[in-house]
Amino acid sequence: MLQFMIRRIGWSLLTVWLISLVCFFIIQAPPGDFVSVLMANAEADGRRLTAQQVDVLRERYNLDQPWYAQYWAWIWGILTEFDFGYSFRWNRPATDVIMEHLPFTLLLAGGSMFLTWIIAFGIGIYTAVKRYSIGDYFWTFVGFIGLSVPNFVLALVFMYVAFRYFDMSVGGLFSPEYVEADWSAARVLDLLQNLAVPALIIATAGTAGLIRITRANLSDELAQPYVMAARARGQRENVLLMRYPVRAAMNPFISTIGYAIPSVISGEVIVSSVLSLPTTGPVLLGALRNQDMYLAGSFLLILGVLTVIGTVISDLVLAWADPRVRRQHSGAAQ
Amino acid sequence: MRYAARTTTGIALAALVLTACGGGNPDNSTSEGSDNVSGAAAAGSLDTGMATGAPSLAGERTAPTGEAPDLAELVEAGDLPPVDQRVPEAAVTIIGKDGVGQYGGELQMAMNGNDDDSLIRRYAAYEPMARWDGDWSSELTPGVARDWVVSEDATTYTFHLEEGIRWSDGEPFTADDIVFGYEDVLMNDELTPGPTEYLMDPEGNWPTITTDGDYTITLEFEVPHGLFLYQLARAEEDGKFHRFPRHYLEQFHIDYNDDAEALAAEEGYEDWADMFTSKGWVTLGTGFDSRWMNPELPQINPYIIETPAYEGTRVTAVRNPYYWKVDEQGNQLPYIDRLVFDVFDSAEVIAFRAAAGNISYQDRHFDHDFRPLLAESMEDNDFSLIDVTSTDMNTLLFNFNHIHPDEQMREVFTDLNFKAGLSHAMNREEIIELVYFGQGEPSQASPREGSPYYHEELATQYLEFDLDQANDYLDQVLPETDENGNRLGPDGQPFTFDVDVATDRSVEHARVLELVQAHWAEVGITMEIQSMDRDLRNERRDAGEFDVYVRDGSAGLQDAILRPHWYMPFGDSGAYAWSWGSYYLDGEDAGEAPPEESPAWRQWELYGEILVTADPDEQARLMEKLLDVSAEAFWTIGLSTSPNRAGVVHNDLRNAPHELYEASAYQNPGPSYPAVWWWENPDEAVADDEDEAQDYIDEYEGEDLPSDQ
Repeated sequence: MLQFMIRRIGWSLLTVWLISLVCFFIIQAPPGDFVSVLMANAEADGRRLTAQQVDVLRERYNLDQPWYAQYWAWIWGILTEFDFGYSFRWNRPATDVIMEHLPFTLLLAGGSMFLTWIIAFGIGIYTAVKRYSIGDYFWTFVGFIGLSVPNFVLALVFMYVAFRYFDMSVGGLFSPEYVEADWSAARVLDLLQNLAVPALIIATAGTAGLIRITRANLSDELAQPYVMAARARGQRENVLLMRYPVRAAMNPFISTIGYAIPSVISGEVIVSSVLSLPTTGPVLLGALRNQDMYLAGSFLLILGVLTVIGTVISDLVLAWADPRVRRQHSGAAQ
Repeated sequence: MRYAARTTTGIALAALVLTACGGGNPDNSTSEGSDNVSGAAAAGSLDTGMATGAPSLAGERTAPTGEAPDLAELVEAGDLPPVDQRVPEAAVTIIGKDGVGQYGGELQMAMNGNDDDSLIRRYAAYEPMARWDGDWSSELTPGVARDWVVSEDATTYTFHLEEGIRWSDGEPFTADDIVFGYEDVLMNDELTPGPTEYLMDPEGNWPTITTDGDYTITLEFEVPHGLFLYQLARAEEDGKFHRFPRHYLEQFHIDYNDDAEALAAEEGYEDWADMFTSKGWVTLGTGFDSRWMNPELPQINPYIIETPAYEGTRVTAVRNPYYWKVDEQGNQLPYIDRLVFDVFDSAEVIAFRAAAGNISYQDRHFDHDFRPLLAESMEDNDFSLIDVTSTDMNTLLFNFNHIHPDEQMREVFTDLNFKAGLSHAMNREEIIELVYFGQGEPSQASPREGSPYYHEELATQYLEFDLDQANDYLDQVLPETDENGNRLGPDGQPFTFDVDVATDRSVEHARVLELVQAHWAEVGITMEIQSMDRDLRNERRDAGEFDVYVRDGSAGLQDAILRPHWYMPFGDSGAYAWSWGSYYLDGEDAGEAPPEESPAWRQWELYGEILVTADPDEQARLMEKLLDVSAEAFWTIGLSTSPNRAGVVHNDLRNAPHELYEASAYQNPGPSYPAVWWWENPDEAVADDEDEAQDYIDEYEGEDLPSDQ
């Protein structure tokens, strides 16, 4: 097990390094840089940057150097000083910008994951127990709708409905009167209220898959002899269900931690942009569109690291939770 | 169901925002400010002399007598000198169509992205030496300069500054501040790399600046600089040379403070120049302007930044206690307490915010397709639409690469018959109907009708949809066709070209191109649509590796004379002759010279004459001759006039114009004096703080929306 852990962690470090390299390279790949964005903006606005100003700006932002030199400076800053570089567009260290937006993102991501689980768990069990009933078909249908309708469409529909029929203020994490207010119970309530809908929108996409997995696993388990044995002992149906087969069917919930983190966060990018939430999503999108390369690179790197960490954790937790998985690994080690 | 339960609170909160009031705050209504209110509510419509109904400068000056209640409190507490010591005794007076107003309230706007700092500049900081007026006429209005004298040959400009202006910290503003800005900031290579183009004559020389006393300043150019006053009025990016408070900024300048480097190191700046820029200047080319980032920077603008830009999702500015303009009864401006700018990431959200009544005044960011949404909800949410005439003069311009590397393509593209034929082959009415909801008229690239430079021939030539005529023209260039009727190039191969269109700006362009593709196929011309990112498109343009480039046409009003790039090669934004334009503006290193017979030479000669002419009438006459040549050259094929845009104004907002011009060079609504706008019910125009909001929810939950008193 220890050897397994060490090898796992070693590989993940290598993966993280490769991710950083690829991120940086890909961000550099499309034509133009931040200065060309400034030039295009000036032009769209009817102004003009002189050739001299362009040179000065490129020099100021170190954009006149080759990409590997820029990469090296960036990664060295991260390793030695935890400095993720400078965000051109925000005129501040990238670290500040990220830290400012990360808490809301984690809150939103955590909230949507929680919702995904609750919904998928409930519907999964229901559909497995009542297989081929009207209810099963209905919820399966709902699940597939959630999977097939893009999040941003849901977000747009929500905005329209909220505005048209409920006269609600749309966009942002706070209602206008709370934007500047100090933290208080009312403000937290306002935040939660504004958070619920985006969380639900993001959650819908993840639930369908989990519902199907839970349903399939649980159906298998329900047919196992131990269920019949328990039933024969006079165990009440509900208690029986939760105590044995559901526990066995829980594996997918644990193993999704790894890929749920990035999928929730990337699902959040578009939804948050549409709803104008102050999370990392729109900032990442803006950074990519504006060639704000250190900020974009840092975001992608952090997401990459989170994914790797998530995968490692879910591997370890799974090995801990499920004796069969553990057995396989030790079997492989021998 | 859970969702429905949540929205109950949502509705209550929304109600709060929409009407934003209730009992209001009794303290305000008894304060001094309301003494001036009498009669204000009954004010009919005052003629300000502006066709757009915008506020304007009064002929007479007024002694300052009134001030905002919050400033009166400070005066009473001894924290601020009395109003007659802060404001010049014969103060500049602004009148608005709704008359004298009352103090209070907040003006709420929406920024599209945190780099939309231009919005702050337009509301809080349009204070140029000489101003555009509310009608954007050629005649400039006194601003920081009370009056000016221009020598006959347009080389010497003498400005008499408004006397008694104070910076927002109470220090006097004098000619000396301008000298400091000019000599120590703009001419300092470390602080201002590169030339300051507006301040240099057409040959690129700096003027000599001399002062006579505190309030007279003279600029002498080596060669005539005919457009200098217009350049001052546009005040787009940098706030121009009178924005630098010497008394505050000297401490950060290495020439005045030997310890500036040490101070910079101490405060965590890279060097002194970096510190100076953060304290009182702007990184050119970016929007990182200290005017909205450093609340300590003294300014002469009506509003001073309170919550800096680029930090959060809300930027605010509060009134400058030393602002130097008053209304006709001597009340110090601005009326409105605070400007609130909320940062959003998309124009859609802004439109929804506006439709929900959460925006007080906004004249930008609403595309044509938002109009129905806004119109539908304006009655419910107590706002009206305003009519915005944009400087954009054409919805789409086809730029054929006149400097195409391939000789055959170049010959075809520069042939007038080719462009005339294609233009006649376009069914513009159909496109306007299908893509632009019937708004706009067929038009070529010309200054708009109603602008001082409208040119009928240029605007209307080759417009008619006529396939026979189109074929006649095209037969003179590409007579050969293959068995399917597609035209062959001079080399006998099928003739086809690519059209580069940017995807990030407008879906409308892609839809127009699909229609045009079908139109041109009718006359045997094949084109391929290449959708791409704006950066890639620009890169292809700058490298000259494109056939045809499309974008909308700008600079169609008063700014046509400042930015004539759609009428003659001028810089690289006019893609049809990108390299010639660069050659003209930046010299031989930047671009190539056009062939001798090119009409560009004649146009440049005429523009050269405009640059050295001081008289606006003469300038307009020369501009007309220049546009005659544009009509002859037919640089680009245009589609239709850009439809007017919609904006929103809250029904309680007074003195704000309901019709206005929109252009970056115009800085709208800056020329309409936002400082003189006021609220009919200022107590309702305040974003509630959380305690009041809480009371409000308790009081009104479950009840109908309260109506206005």
